[in-house]
Amino acid sequence: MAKTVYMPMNRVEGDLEVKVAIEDGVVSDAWMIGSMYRGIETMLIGRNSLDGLVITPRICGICSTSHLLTAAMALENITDTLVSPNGLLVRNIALGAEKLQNDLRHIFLMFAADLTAEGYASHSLYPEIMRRYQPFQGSAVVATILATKKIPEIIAIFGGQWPHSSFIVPGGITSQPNEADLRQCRLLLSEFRRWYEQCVLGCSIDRFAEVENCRQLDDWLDERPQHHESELGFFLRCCQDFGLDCIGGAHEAYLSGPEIAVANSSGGFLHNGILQAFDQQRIVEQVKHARYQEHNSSGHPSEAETHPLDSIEHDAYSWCKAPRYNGNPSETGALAEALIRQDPLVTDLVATRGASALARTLARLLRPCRTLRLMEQWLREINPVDRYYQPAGVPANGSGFGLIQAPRGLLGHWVQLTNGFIDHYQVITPTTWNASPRDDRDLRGPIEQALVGTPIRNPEDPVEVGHVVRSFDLCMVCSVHAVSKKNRTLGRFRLGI
Amino acid sequence: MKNNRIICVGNSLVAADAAGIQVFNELCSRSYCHHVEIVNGGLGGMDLLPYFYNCDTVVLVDQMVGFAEPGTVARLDWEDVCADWQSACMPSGELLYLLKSLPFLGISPLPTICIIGIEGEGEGETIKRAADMALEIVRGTP
Repeated sequence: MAKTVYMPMNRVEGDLEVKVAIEDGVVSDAWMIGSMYRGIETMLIGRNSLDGLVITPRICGICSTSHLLTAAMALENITDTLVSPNGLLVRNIALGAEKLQNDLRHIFLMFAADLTAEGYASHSLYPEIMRRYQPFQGSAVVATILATKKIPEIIAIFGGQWPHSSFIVPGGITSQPNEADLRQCRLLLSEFRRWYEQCVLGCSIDRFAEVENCRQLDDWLDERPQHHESELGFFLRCCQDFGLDCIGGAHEAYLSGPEIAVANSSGGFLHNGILQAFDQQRIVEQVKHARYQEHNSSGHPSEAETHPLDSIEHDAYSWCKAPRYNGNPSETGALAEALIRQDPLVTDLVATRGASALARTLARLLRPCRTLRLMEQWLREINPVDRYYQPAGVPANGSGFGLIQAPRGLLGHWVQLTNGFIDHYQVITPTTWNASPRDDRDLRGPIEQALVGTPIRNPEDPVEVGHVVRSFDLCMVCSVHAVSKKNRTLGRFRLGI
Repeated sequence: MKNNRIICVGNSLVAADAAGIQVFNELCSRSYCHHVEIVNGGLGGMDLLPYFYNCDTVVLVDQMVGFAEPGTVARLDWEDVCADWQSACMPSGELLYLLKSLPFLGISPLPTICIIGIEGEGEGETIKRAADMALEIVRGTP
């Protein structure tokens, strides 16, 4: 007989519950329940055309630059505005900084925390796991906090503050960074690279770039003690010992946005091994199992509105809609990005061992190799005497969209303006893709599908569910956060993000 | 150099989470705040870490829910907050995570830290009281 377990996910951004049915020690079904209504889109209607630049970055305290950039691109799309080359480079650098911080913090502060579960206490690696990953004080945790503390300074140099900057506007950016500013950015980046190479990889990025398949990865791990004991080396050994390379495979459909934030640049869609160019027209939001009115809240995001149901219907179990690409539930994020980019190591890993929680987190842990190189290149390409802003008028009428590859995956904004005011606004975040509920055909969302088949050793403490769900690096919303005091729920204390 | 900081956190766009930002505005309107750095922490969590360096006292001002009657302004000590919340985690309680991590981050000397919690959305008098309390703390008034 199936046993149903509800599991509040308290290390995702906001409120999320996972419901799993466990039968004979294996997850037989799963439901992702977004338990909070967001309503940012509704808040924007009737506001000035530029207000999305200020309001949407508040959707997330981690990805605020991503939202700002996407909002600006949606406005540029309406008027076919050209962005100054320098402005474009700075935007990409800022987005890269946000990715660097997110990737490392997610791995060592959130994902790895599950490895410290008491259920693993008898494992031979457990003492070392605690030394490295214990919340608040593990060596990897502390090192990550300190290393990622400085990376947002790059955004602050360009944008005056982080998070929730407002320096990206249609046509470019509002600041005029000089050579000293760029030098400071290069210094911050080189410090981060030094830490990433010495502590995370245990070798140079150039050396690791030679690892192109699983066999070479195994060889690399045994090649030198520095590799074996590096954060990457230890993380790999843990994940393999705990079987994280055998759980968490989802639908074989992957979606990725354009890596560089340029209008009309394309991402990709990889389905059953076939790679196609990404076309935003193929996105549809479905709400059969979401708590929205079906007649006006479903369809392409340029038309689908946000109207919550007056009363909760039985089948509607999530405040997340179900976005589908070409009708398919699609995973987005670091793994999708690596597969669509045809990264040799990640592609080989998935081809030989299948998609898994390990593949997903490994793709994220290795993404800084590429991000760092690109950011260094973009910094070199900036000519500080050139303009960072291409004059652009304020759009008043029309429809547009912005799409980027944010830290957690494909992020899209769709906007429609009339007489200088917002008529319609729709945002699809990466987590809406990954944590979507079932769709109109009752097909599970990517995480729901990834959970099915997961073996659970202890239904009272289904830590394996946490491994799979958190491997997607979720972000629901950042506004209300609940904690309990002395393990008793006295109420809610809102602190921070 | 200003060696005391008052960090006001909250979401200016959400009335139910804006009390900290209202206190920020109140403090900025007072001309005698030159001895202390007033910070709009917005929705910042872990990224408020730099503000704990090179200072003697940090006062965090934020909304609290479910502790007392609306209109209450309470002072919570950092040590109590860290002891009480066993399950602070990243990033859904990112600022809590930061508070619990501070002793391990090598910050020397660690500033005196306390928290001003405001129950309810914050009426005018409540906001002024919270601002007064924050200033009293950085002035060393018990």
